[in-house]
Amino acid sequence: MTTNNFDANKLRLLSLLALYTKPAGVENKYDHYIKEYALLSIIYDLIIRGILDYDYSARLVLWKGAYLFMNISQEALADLELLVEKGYVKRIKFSTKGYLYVVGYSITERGLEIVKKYPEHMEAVKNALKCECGGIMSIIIEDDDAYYVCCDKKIRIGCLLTEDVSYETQPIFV
Amino acid sequence: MSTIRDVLEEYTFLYQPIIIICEWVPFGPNQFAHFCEALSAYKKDEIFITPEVDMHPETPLFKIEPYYAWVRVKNVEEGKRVYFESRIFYPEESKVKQTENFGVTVEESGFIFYSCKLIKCSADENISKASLPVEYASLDKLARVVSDLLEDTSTLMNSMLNSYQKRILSVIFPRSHEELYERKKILCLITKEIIYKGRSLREHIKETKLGDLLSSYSDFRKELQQVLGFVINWIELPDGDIIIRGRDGFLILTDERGVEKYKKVMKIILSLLALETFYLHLFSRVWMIWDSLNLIRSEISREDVEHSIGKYRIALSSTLADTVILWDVDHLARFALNYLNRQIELLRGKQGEGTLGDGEIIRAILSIVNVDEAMEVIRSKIEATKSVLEAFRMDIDGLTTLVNTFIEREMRSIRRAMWKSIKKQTRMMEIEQAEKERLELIEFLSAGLLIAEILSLMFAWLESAFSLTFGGWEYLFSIAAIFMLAMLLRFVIRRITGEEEESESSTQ
Repeated sequence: MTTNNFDANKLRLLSLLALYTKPAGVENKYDHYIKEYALLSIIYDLIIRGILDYDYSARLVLWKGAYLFMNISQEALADLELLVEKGYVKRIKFSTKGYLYVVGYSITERGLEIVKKYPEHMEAVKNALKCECGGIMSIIIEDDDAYYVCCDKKIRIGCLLTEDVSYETQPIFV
Repeated sequence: MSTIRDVLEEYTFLYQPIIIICEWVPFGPNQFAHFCEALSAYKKDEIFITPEVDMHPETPLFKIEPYYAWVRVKNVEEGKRVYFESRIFYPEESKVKQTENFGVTVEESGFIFYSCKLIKCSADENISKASLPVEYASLDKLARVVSDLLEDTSTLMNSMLNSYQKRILSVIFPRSHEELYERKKILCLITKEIIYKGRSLREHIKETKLGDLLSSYSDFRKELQQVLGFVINWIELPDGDIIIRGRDGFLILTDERGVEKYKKVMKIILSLLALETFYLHLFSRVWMIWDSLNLIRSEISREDVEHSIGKYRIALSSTLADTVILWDVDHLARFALNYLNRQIELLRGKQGEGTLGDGEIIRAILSIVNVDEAMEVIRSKIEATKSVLEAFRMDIDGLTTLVNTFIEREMRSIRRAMWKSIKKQTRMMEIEQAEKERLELIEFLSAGLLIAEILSLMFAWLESAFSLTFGGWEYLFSIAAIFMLAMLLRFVIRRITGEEEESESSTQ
């Protein structure tokens, strides 16, 4: 645990948000948000690569207006909730063309201050998301998955690939 | 074995949980009879069903990949429900072994229940820190089992529904018939024991309140939310039973005696929530139709219409098809709602029963699921949907008339342009004809002059060579000869031209 009860996961989550979002006044007059499913895709990737230490499981989500399974970390969502509650992250909800809602997250100035205090976590996240051609990888959402874009190439994240376990069931009737 | 790519931290385990998945698919008496017929339910048949479609009905032989489900009809209650057992043989990752058997109950009202008991959930030494036997499934793994069941039950049902029902589902849940895409269903887990952080949940509750265990950032809540969605509320019953309600389903902890009681009660509650979920999605589709109509209206009323008017007519026709499909759902939903209403009334009647009956369970469930409100919401959604769809049909009619008017106007201007062009062409043909005749005259005159020249030379030669004189008659002879030859030439030219025109028209 570090100060403010922030463990490495929360600090890295804040660093991740600091890389992709900005509060108004930092770059221009606009608040910059990242959509929840894009953020969850990156979180999944960082879990797989050992940068974040969360569990995840497949949950049915609305992906471009249709339902499919996506690997989502409830622990990461709970941490985001906590960061929102403490004022380090701002959350916004806006409607889509399909009359459904999408949630966006953005780091606040207080959140940025915390990130500055722990450059090692920012470094770890930045290294994981660094593009060889400079800067950090951008992210695009397509029908079949989320992709990083780096040096004009698309790298599949695989957040929609569900996992299987061995099991045995017996039928019952209701 | 598993294909999990992460190292799981498993805190919560359920002992051989019963998994019930419920969805509402528009059925009604006709579709139900067709469904029973397709299953050969009357002879309690045993068959294999594949999601593949026969694309070559003219060929006598066919081959399919061995991805199918085995189905055996257990019981049929004529005109009410059919029970069948299913075993799934869909492909899984090679290192994963799944024996996926479940019972399916399809009701005439459209409520479908897929249910099974999870006997074993493999413990993988590489990824699990748990030391519990395989009869205990961690919530982390259960989440994966449930998503697998949700996927496979959709594939199974897609192989059995008719194209009309599939069309309805694909309008409500876009692309749900495609691989990867899903329909929303409601889940219920019933278990006799929950182990949390190495101890029974019942023991935990003796020391800590259930509310504290389910506090915002607790591991228990986070793990539960992997399966149930956002945890909404919960209740503890005096006999130690626990019901936790999430956004997508329920977790019930009870004893052997309670399992059957909960199954009966939850069947009604799950049906209600499944119908509510269906209508939630139906209504967002309704607003999307409204959007597309607005777009068409604004585009066709613009001066600089981008696309051809015909394109809007096609778009309107497709929107009308979607509207009619949703309209058709209306009477099936009312049929289901009436059935549900009767079931809920029966449930309420049992509320008064003592601890040995279902009364306590019903009261507990009704305290965390507001059945009256849910029924009212569905009823008003059905009413609202019907009137909105009625308005849409009128709107589509209006827009179609407008598009037809535009098309008529377009046709009129085309006709006007055509007449103009015909007139122009006729005039050009007349000019061409006059020109032709003038040329002919010039040709005759030239030919006449040539003949006159030849004749005068001939007479001059006769006069100089043989000293013959004609006393001026040679001039009259020349005139007559020129005239006759010109007429002959004209006749020949007309004949040739006539033949050419005739052969041209016959080739066209």
